[in-house]
Amino acid sequence: MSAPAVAPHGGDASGQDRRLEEIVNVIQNLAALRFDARAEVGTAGDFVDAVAAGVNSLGEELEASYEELERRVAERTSELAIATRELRHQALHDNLTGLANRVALWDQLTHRLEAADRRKPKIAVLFLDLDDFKMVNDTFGHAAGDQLLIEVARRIEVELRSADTAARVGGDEFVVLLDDVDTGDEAQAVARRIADRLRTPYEFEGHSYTTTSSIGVAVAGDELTASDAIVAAADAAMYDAKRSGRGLCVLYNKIRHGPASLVDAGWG
Amino acid sequence: MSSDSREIVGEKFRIWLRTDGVVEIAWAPHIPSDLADACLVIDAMSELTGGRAAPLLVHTTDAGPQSREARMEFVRRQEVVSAVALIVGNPLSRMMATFFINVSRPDVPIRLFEDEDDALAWLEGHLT
Repeated sequence: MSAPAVAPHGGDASGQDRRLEEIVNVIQNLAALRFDARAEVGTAGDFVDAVAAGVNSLGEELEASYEELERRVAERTSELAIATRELRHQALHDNLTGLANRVALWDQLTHRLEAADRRKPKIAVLFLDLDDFKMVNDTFGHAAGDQLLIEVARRIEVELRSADTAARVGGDEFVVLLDDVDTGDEAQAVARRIADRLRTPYEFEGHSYTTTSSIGVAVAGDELTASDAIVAAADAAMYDAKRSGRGLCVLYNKIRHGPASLVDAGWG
Repeated sequence: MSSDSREIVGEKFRIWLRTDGVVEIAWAPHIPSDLADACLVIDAMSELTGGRAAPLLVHTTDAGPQSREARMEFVRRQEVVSAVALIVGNPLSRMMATFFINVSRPDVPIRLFEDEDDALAWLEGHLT
């Protein structure tokens, strides 16, 4: 901001009134937040010049304070937006693996079912549980267990498309929501690819170990039109896979597994 | 801007080093000054004193208005002065000097005087 120009002023009464009127106008402009308003300061150095220069200086201080306030508000708003994003991320993601958490999965699943054609939702759910996770934790320690879970999450994501959602819903339990899937065969094919990828040996601090996973598969449709029913069905199929051996993928079948119940699956 | 070993003359100011060690500055009458002018004055003072903090006598009576940026630069670079005496002689200069002291709030000793001899006597106590 450059300093205001200096103009000579007469000392007569009408000239004095004009100078005071100009200063009043500047004050009114400053009150309306028009901070570039300035009064001319004369060469007499008298009280009117002092008032004019004082108003100008106060205007400059007011402008500087206002700009500082706006800068701080913008800074705080930006910090708040970042904090909000971080909180939202934490609320919807698993801290260890970075995958979606149970809340985010449920939101996604519900939203997907609501948006879909009720007669043909075209989605499938995979319920995945590692077969030897406790052994890894007991043998190699919890750090190795955490590394295994992180690597499992990464490998699952490699097999998914952008519209699919992978979530960690428990210690070594993962749920995958497959989008745009028509049949159990399609869903099982994805499940087998994931199982194969998870079977590849893991390396941790010089150790190499192999683990398998049991996967239950449920395809939406018929009676499986609600979120809890589909997840419960995939969960029931996963337990069937566990009972039947290691590293199996089992497709939910109502006759074989019974009506899906979320309470029975431990999600109720 | 011209200079010899004890005086520097700028477009809007004249600044010189007195034999008693006090630096004195007179602004061109009624000319507004801004940040660039403040920087020139500070550089000139540093040149005269070799960068050592020295007492400063400022004639403000006929000085024109000074911008906020100029005032803030004088406060920011106040390490070049050990004390400042502002000679005021009319309502405008008194207001501007008071505003500088009370609003810009420099940390170095600073006082208003109407009499130059009184100002120099006070500055003697701040010779380094």
